[in-house]
Amino acid sequence: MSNEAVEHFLSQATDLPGMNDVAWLDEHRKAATHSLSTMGFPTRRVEEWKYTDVSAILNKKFSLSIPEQQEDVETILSSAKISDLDCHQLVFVNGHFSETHSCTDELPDGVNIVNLKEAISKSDNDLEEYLNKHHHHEKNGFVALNTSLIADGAVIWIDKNVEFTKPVNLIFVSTGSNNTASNIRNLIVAGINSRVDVIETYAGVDNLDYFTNTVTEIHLEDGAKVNHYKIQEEGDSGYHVGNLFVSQQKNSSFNSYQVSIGGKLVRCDLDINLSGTNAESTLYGLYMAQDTQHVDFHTTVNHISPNTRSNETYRGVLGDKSRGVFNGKIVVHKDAQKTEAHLSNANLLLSSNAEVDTKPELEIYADDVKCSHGATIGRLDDNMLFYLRTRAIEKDVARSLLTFAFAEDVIEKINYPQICKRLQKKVMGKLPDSNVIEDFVQ
Amino acid sequence: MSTQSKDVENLVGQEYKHGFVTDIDTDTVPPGLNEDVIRLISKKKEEPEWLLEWRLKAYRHWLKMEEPEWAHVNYEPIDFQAISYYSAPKSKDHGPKSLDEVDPKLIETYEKLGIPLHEQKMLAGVAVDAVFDSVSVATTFKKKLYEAGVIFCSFSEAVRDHPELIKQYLGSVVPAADNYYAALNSAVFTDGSFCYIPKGTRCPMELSTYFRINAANTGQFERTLIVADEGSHVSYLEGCTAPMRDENQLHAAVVELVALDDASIKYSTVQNWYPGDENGVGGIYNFVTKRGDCRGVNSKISWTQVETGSAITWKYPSCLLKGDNSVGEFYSVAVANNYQQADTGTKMIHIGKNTRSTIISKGISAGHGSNSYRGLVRIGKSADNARNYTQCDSLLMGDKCAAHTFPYMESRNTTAVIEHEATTSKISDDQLFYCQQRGISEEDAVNMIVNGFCKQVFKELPMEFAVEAQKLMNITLEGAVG
Repeated sequence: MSNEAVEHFLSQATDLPGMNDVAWLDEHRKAATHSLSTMGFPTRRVEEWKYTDVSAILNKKFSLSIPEQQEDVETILSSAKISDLDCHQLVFVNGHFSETHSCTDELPDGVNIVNLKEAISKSDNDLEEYLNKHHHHEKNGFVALNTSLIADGAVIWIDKNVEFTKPVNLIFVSTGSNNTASNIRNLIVAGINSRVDVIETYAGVDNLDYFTNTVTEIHLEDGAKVNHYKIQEEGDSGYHVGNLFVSQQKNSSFNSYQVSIGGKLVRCDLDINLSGTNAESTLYGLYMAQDTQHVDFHTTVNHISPNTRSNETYRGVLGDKSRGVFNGKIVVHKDAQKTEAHLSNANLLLSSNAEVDTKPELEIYADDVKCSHGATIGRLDDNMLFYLRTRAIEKDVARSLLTFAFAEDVIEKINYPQICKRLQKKVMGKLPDSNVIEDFVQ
Repeated sequence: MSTQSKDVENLVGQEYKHGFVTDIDTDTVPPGLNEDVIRLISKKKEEPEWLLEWRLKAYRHWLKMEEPEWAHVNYEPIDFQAISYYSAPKSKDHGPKSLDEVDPKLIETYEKLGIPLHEQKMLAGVAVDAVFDSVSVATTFKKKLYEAGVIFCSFSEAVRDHPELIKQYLGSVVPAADNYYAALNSAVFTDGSFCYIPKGTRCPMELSTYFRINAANTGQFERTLIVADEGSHVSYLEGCTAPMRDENQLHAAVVELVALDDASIKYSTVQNWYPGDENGVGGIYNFVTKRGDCRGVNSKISWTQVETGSAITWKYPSCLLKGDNSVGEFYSVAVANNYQQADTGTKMIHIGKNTRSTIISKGISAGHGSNSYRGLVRIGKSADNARNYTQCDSLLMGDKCAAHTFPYMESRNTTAVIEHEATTSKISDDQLFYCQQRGISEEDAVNMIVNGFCKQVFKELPMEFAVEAQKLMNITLEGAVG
């Protein structure tokens, strides 16, 4: 089945931008195609995919061609936009850049925001240097697929010493007909001592079978600072596979905020490489699943150089028949002395049919380190519930309130109040008696 | 805590103390494994037909299985045809009636190991079923145990005298085809210990078995089965040392524990097999399957282990918490020095309601050692109000060692609570400085800190074991820091 799916997808690798024209890009595609044909798509026999079965994605025979009907783009786009947020905006519909919806006016000097297709046509040297720099396609079948089908996505360049304060919002929407696939490749390069905030938003139409396969590469040069937000609000029948690769040079600082609310089957991988000394990373994540949603987060933080620090906090709320998977790996490489790494993962099971599988991992090959991880799976605290009940708060309301507070711990870390507000609303909307708890939260 | 300061150089160069070979004629089967060898083992042990069939079934299954590779360890592939599967001291034919009749050389061996069967067993109040290679040669305190109704004997005797119990419980916790090494053990196991505690009995003394691998090229395939009937209690000790050898020896034991209603079993291990020399040559491969089954309500199984030996340890003492309100515990200290590799941990499978489990794992890595904790906590749908607490800490000594943690947590019950925490760090310079400032030598300070680190586990060990374990820890880690 896997082979069939590989052939099906690869047969669509025609008419890609720069094909047979940009030699280096063809090389990457070729290597990726080779990887994909040899390793295929992951199965549950692969340790990293033990809890997540992707055969549903492979059976559906998703097509990369642009669907003819896209009339509800406006509706879905307006709901995906973050209200009141002053930002630059790049919009992609089913994986293709939509110039009419995008707006990147008045970019300051030293900042370049384009779509990948255009960047390829201009074929500049920097793109060649950074795109797929670390051969990410070797990681798994989905990254290999993404690389062999590289077509469009966002490219953000921040030059040396440029502090770009206006956030960039990349919006990816899926609409149209069933069985549509989007293949998205983003590249963010933050030059020496530069700064940028990027928000990726994924949204789609409900009751529509579609597949989003996205890869984002972020390169932080010395002293760069990047805040990366990913808000995943795919439609309720959408499949989402996301990979984030971050490479950090010395003194750089990277903050990641991942919020996963939508989608039917969601798998997100984060690979953070602290390659330079004194680099630091902070990762926050929240996953919420209901009905039969399946959400899987795999994070890997590689401490490669000495004096690097990382801190990771992930929270999960699982209701109904949903399933949550979390795997957080911290690897301290040889010679990465004075590393400090912490990870915490907490999960709340709201229903007796929900399931959580979590595995925090430590792999340590150096001795002068401070590492810790903690993971919990549990229920709402009886004492807290009792406290609220003694204040005449109804049981369901009390439960919702505590669940909200649990999720809020991650949401409140987000620096933009506009995003916080939006997410609070989304989270509340998923809980019973949301109108009542809204009053408490204000 | 010892106060004399020792010359570190000397200690680092110190050879493995228990490395010697006792020259006794052994009745050894030529190396190789096939159905005939299994038939031969079964025949030599005068086993009933059903047991032979059980062995052959396991063997046929083993042939179809693949050697597991998921553990975080590296070693040369094992040639299973190069191992001799049976070896028994010749002098067993007459069967010693008392200690005086035991081969004096055997006694000598035990004395070198510091296990004087003669006196200390009386003083310590321990009944010792000493396993020398594969056949039990001396069993003590039989009478006292007999009066209490406790059956404690070698596995072969149990097969002969209590076939109904063996038939009922053998393979009921670790099925013959459970995993690669358990299947191998089921096919070729030669001897081991059997223990049955009758209803409502509190075993009058701590039961103990000393294992020792002796004849060269002989893999040791022990089988231990402990059954605690309703309302009974037993504490079982297992300790091991092995002589020095250059070739790797395989040890694939199986331990099965069954606790019925209100019963409790405490199983303690001190494992100090030959770990190989400082260059990682030689040493024992320790691939053990240990599992306890809390079958009855309110039952309890507690594993305590101190793993300092073996070149490779691959061991996961587990608990199946089937009975309501049953309790599983796992306390472990694992040390990996020089080129030792340890991949150890536990599995707690919660099935019954209100089941509780506690996991305390302490890993120490030094030299080029690699230490992994691998654990699984699974809460089934039926396990209402299940509770787990896991703590696994690692201590690193030296910049070439490695420590890993792979805890799996799976929950399907909304009322269950699972907590896991792990830390990894080295002995901090501040702690060392503080001790040295108060006139404590570096070596002693390290010992003190290490013992403090392990205390939570050591205090679970029976008294005499705790002392031995502490000593062992100091010897194993001598010269690792400083």
